[in-house]
Amino acid sequence: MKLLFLYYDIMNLYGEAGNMRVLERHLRDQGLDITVVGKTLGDALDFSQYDFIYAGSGTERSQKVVLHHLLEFRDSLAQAIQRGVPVLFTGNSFEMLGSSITDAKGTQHQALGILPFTTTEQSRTRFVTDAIASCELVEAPVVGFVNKCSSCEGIETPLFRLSMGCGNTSHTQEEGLHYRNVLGTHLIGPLLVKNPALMEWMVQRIGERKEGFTYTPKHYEYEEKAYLATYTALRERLPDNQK
Amino acid sequence: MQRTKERSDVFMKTSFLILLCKILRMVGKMVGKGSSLPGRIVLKLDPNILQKIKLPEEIVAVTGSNGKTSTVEMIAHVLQSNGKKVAYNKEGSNQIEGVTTFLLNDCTLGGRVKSDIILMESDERFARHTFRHFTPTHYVITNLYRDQMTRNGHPEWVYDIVGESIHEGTHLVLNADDPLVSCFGLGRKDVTWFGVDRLPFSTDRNTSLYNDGRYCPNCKARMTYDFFHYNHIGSYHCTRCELHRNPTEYTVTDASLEDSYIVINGEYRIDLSFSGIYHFYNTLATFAICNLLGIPGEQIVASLNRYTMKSGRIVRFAAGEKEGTLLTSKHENSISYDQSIRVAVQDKRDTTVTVIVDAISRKYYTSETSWLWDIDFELLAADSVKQIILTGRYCNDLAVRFSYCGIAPEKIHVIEDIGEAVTYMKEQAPGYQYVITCFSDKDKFLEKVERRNEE
Repeated sequence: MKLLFLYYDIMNLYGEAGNMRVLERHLRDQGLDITVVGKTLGDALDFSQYDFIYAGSGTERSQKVVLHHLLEFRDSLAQAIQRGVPVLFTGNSFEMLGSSITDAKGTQHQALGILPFTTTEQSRTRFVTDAIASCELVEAPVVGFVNKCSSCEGIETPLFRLSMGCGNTSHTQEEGLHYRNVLGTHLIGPLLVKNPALMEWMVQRIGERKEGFTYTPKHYEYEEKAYLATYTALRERLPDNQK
Repeated sequence: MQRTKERSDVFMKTSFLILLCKILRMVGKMVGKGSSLPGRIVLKLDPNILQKIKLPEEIVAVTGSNGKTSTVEMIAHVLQSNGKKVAYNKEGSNQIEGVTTFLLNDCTLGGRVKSDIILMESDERFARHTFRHFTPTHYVITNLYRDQMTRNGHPEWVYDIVGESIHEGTHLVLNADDPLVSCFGLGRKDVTWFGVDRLPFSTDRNTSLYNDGRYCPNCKARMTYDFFHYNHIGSYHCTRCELHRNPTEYTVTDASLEDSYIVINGEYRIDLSFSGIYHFYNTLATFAICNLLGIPGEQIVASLNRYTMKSGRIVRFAAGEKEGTLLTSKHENSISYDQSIRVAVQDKRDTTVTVIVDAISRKYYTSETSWLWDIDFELLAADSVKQIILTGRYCNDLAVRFSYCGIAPEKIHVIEDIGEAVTYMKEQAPGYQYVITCFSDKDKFLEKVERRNEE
């Protein structure tokens, strides 16, 4: 199976290569034959070849350059998404899926237009916060960190509901987006490394694409302990009535 | 008549606030409080107080991700040992409140700063607020890296903020080897560049886990490097725009990591009491600014030769029978970790390396550990490293990360409690001990061992 690490050398701001390193090993542990392919600016992209597509966070300026490159391959990505290929975009990479991104100077950049929402950046405040979230995919609460300067309006199918953190806009607890097998979120961590349950979910979705795959539950002692340490530390900081 | 009265009221008020600040600082020192509170109170009473005092002719500010405190300490040392009276924020209180405290403390009641030179370590995020009140004559910018991103966002975000603190009339002293820092010099004439020539430790390829020099920070086209010193620090040029490593006026032309010395501009050899590329840069920046301020090269060399840092980043210790060195690094700053790891693996004796991640910051709370994936822990797979101890609240995050480093699992010991980790170290850890951790966690270790001396 082939996994795509998209813009590995520029959308990699928050240790997000960790997602791919751990995912690759977990998939191999399921007996799958895995190849990770890195593509970046200047490369031609054909999304029909991959069983999983990942991109991480970049600076606001990097994201615009990446978006400009990705626009050329927009239809190929849209088709892969419609076919149900698992996609994970963490940080501001998921903003590219919307219809536009307006930067802090007010310039509107046309985005991929695969999903109907818009993003607006500003340069005065950086939203930085630990996060606890729940979602429909897994039972365990999800932990992570938000580090962004943007807000996303018009997302109808959010991924998470936050009990701590910063949502898609300043007036919602809804965070990220979920459409078919596309997960988009500003939660970093790296997300899959910090959340063994979500990693397991993703391994199953990718594995299922291979005929005859059956998932074998596996324990990853340190990942589970690390998750508990973070979740416990964060939960202590919630108001009493939300613990 | 009325105007004179107003003016004298203003004068009275300023004198009063200076006195108040001095008293608060004195009381604060007696009860062991930090230096930001007096400034905070005075700023509440008069937000423009800093515009009302008379400043000396030379005001030097130093900012950057790494090396601010050490560089400021060395600059102060050189200036003072050459007869200059220097006011500087030696306690690392580098936000506006701390700066206010230290400036007013150095004032006569008439509102004149007594020192010849003001030297400030300036927090990269707060400089734009501080420099609204007064403008540095010289502004040294050491580097901009991925650093404390949970509050700094990312290097370009910090770049934009630092950019707002640069005003006309300020002479910039810039690290030519850092492409992002070099952007501050684009289109400016009043810049002095410093940098390090190609040396034996330079590499043709970027050997770290990520490369923030891959794309030009000015136009985002590919960059080409002639060589790297570490991470994205080296000699580069953009394949599209005019960004390139500028010719340097102050240059390390020769240096040795093994013998701990640098030679500046081919003639000024400085013997260092501690080796490390980042220390070369701090020393070079110190030389550059002090020379610009009129101190002759020979005299700077005399002051800096074998100078021992007071800020105590490197601490020798004994844990039972085991001798060791604690290398203070910064959590959330992969480059500072990479540097410490290099120091540890340069040592060819048998070693044990301990990494402590307990409180990620001493100033704020976070559980964010993504920066562990940016650190080149893979280097610790070296043969000389016989064992690894991972400890502190986030030891399991470390253990996950270390399981991807190509290090045999039986070499790695995960012990959450720092006390138990120290016991293990005393009883079982082989060889010389290196401990890598942050300011926020180092005392949790040092209080359990015997300190030797500090460098």
